[in-house]
Amino acid sequence: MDFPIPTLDKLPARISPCPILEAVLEIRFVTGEDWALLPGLLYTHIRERYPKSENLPIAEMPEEFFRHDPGFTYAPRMHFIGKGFVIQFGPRVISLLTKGDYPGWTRVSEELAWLLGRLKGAGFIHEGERLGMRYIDFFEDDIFSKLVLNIHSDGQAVSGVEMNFATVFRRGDLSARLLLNNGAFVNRGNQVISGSILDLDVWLEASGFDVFGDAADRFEDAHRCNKEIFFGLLKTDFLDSLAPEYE
Amino acid sequence: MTFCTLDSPYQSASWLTSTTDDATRPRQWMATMGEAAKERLVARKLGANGFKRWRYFRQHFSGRWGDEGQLPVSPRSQESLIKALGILEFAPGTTPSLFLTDDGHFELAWRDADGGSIQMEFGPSAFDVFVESTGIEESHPNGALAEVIAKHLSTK
Repeated sequence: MDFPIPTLDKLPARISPCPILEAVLEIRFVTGEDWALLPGLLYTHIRERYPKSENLPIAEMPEEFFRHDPGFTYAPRMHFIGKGFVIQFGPRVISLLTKGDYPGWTRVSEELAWLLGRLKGAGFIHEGERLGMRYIDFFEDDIFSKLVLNIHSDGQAVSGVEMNFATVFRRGDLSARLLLNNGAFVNRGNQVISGSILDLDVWLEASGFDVFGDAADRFEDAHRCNKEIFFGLLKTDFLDSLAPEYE
Repeated sequence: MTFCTLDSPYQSASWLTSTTDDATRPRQWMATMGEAAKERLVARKLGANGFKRWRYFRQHFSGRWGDEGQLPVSPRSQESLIKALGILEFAPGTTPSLFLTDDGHFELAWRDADGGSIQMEFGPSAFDVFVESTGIEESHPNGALAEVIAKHLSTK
């Protein structure tokens, strides 16, 4: 089983326009504490940077709903809003999301290190279950024609039709889920822009990380892997058109 | 919703996601992406009952449970269980039973061809093995799983 993606010798530090809509750094966990207590436990440790909290609409659903639908096991139920970042929180999940323009990995990893320290202080995580690093990128093109990945039917490339493609593959210790969709829309100001999504989630399972030990390093690994897959997927001429900058 | 966020920063065209409605209670389901190989393995090795119990434990025992505040299912225990199922070969007609201990550890129990009891309990960092026929009752780090199975349980 293999999913061949070229590995570039050098990875760009940035491209323009930056296609990142959202970066999500997530830890799924198990805890012995009741959900009712968790928001308070977390808030006391993060309020200096995340003073505002809001329930997400899903929080209004009865507890019975969550018990019976595994699809919502890891759904966040509230978020804490800070400067440039949002923390999403649920009974089995905590994630750090970028808000607005992507601030660059250096800034993201600083914020992550701060959050991991605060989580240690809060002390409610019994065991980590999954560590995930996801980037959602948007392009105003049909992404399927810009990638080294081709979809064929009867020996001919499929192109110009609406497509949604998803796959999961391994890269060493990491798993990656790639989703491509060429019928996506985003709001920009008062405009709705159509285009494509390249949505790449890279994760480690429970034995691959220690929340209060090497989680920051493992996020670095996941980030690196995510970047390698992303840039490896782009056709050379498409990457060149994005004015890549190297450090 | 299975991946790292709930509120999507984009919307897909409806024609890419809408389908003819299926039954209100469909008989089929799709594994969460990345979980299909695991689900296939559990179904093959533990049969329908064991598969249902595994899914039930994962879904309903993720927080403290029981009268005495027993511990939630340990994700690392589950990984160890899956790894063991990938290696263990059970005698024809043998289907192990799956349990969850008060410590949140998965435990497998089955009988060998002579009716002797075999048990394995999977903890986050170590596992215990008991083989009635040989009197083996040992504890090992999870890294030794393949070696111990090959040594004590290869034909059980």
